[in-house]
Amino acid sequence: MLLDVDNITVHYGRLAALRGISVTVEEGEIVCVVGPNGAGKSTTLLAISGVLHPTDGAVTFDGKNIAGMSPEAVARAGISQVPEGRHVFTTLNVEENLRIGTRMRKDRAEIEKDYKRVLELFPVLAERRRQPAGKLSGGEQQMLVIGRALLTSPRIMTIDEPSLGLAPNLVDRVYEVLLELRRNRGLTLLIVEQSSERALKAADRLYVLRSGEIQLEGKAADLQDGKRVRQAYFGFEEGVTHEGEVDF
Amino acid sequence: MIEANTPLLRKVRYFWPLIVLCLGLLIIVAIVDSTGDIILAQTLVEGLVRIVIVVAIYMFVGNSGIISFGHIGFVLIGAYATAWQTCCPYTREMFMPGLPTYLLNNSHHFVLAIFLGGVLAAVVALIAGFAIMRLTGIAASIGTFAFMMVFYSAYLRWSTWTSGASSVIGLPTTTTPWVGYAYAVVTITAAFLFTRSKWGLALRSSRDDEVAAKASGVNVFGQRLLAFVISAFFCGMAGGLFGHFLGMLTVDSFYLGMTFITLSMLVVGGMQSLAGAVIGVVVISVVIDVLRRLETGIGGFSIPSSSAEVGVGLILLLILILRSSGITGNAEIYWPFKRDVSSEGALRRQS
Repeated sequence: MLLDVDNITVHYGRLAALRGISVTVEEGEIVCVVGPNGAGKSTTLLAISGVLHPTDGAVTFDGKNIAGMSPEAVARAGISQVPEGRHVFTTLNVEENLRIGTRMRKDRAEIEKDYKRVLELFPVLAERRRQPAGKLSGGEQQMLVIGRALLTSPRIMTIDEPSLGLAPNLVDRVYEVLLELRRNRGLTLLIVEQSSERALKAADRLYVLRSGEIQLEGKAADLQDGKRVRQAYFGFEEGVTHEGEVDF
Repeated sequence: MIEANTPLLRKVRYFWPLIVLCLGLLIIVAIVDSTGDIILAQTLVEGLVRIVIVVAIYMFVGNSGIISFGHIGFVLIGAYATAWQTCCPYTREMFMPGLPTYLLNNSHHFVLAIFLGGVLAAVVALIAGFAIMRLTGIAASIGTFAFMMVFYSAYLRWSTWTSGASSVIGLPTTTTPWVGYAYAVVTITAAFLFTRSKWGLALRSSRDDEVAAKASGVNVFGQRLLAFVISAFFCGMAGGLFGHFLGMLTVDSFYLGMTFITLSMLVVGGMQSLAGAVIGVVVISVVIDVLRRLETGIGGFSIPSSSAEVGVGLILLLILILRSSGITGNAEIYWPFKRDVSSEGALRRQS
């Protein structure tokens, strides 16, 4: 098991945002965590990445306990993070943004190859290499952040809401790229997603999180009809609300 | 037409922002030197020392995005540390009787003394920064201010080493225009190289987005501390230069007045650009000089005294309101000719 989040509890002050949740990710897997607003999805990623520290439970990455480590130490251990909301370095140009991704690495020749690959993957970034990242469109910024995370040569990439604030065709493109990366490079992914429909399409396994607890987990293949996912997502039986009112 | 992609030309293009600044200053120094005007030369040297200070502050403030109100504390430390080594060999014991025997009996060469002054400032920055750099945003700024207060008050009372509230007089006035120019060029070059280094890049990334910088593995605290120490080193050297320009030192001259002037210069020029730091000093120095001359009166016309400070304050306000990114708009002076945009060249430059 590559990443093992075991029964963690996270508090914001006295408020428990996560109450004993467990998530595991195997090497080469795509795992999605879905859930409504305020369910604790982002909190889960923040607890893994070291921004928040769990008050209880353990986070094990590749056999090492990483709970309590600083964000940069977690990043150095091989978990690259794409935080929510397209965190590009606005005054740095595209090339410099990408170079930040490579700064933890020593393998110069490989960096060069990876850099070229990222530019091939996102041709628009190659075109705008000299432009400040703040001038890119939302979709381009999301590509840039993913490209930067890729250049850290991660063992696992965690992404918080890749679809947030993007036009649907751009979201398609982002997911295409993510699936392609898994197919061609065996990238392991842990994705937080609000849309269970997207998650069911992309993931191997998914977890439904609500009110800081895991409501449901399973293989995406077994959950394709969506009924159990929706029930776990909203916490009530289907039919109580009118079909169609609920937009996924 | 020059061949567009020779290695030499590429180097020139890379270092262009640096070359322009150094050549520009060279022209100014050469012109002033040739006029032989002593008053003008004084203004020039003061301006060059301020360039060292403001560019040193830029190294930290411009790249980290944390405003420092405390860097004049490092100038103070460097100034007195230099004086301990060079000042007035016959009266040193009178001004600063508390100095250790070695310092009372030995003098160092000006260049070595200034260097050691910078080193002392850097060591102090390392210790102080270890606490202050853990803070972010306005808390860090206030922290640097508190740091300066501590050193100002301590040096004011520490009369056996600093002569306290009275002056230390008799430093050799070795800071000539050309010496000032040499230190300005060294500092500007260091700032240029630091900003473009991988450490400078990491620091600038944390300025834009601290969360993402950490997520990319940047040790934000460590990068800030490094920049703080380097910039303190150059501020300390500037202190030594300043003492050897005036020929005397008072603790009071390294306090709020100098903090205000130097930060104004940085803000007016453009806080996030090296060109801004240099141009800010040049512009504000010229304005101050013109107003000072008007204060003393030209051809029967004069303006009230202290108009220079008022003028600087007004310019600062105008810049903040009308053009908050400064005269340069936070940009550097780029290669004015068409740049080669082939991806080939760019990829090779990557390695």
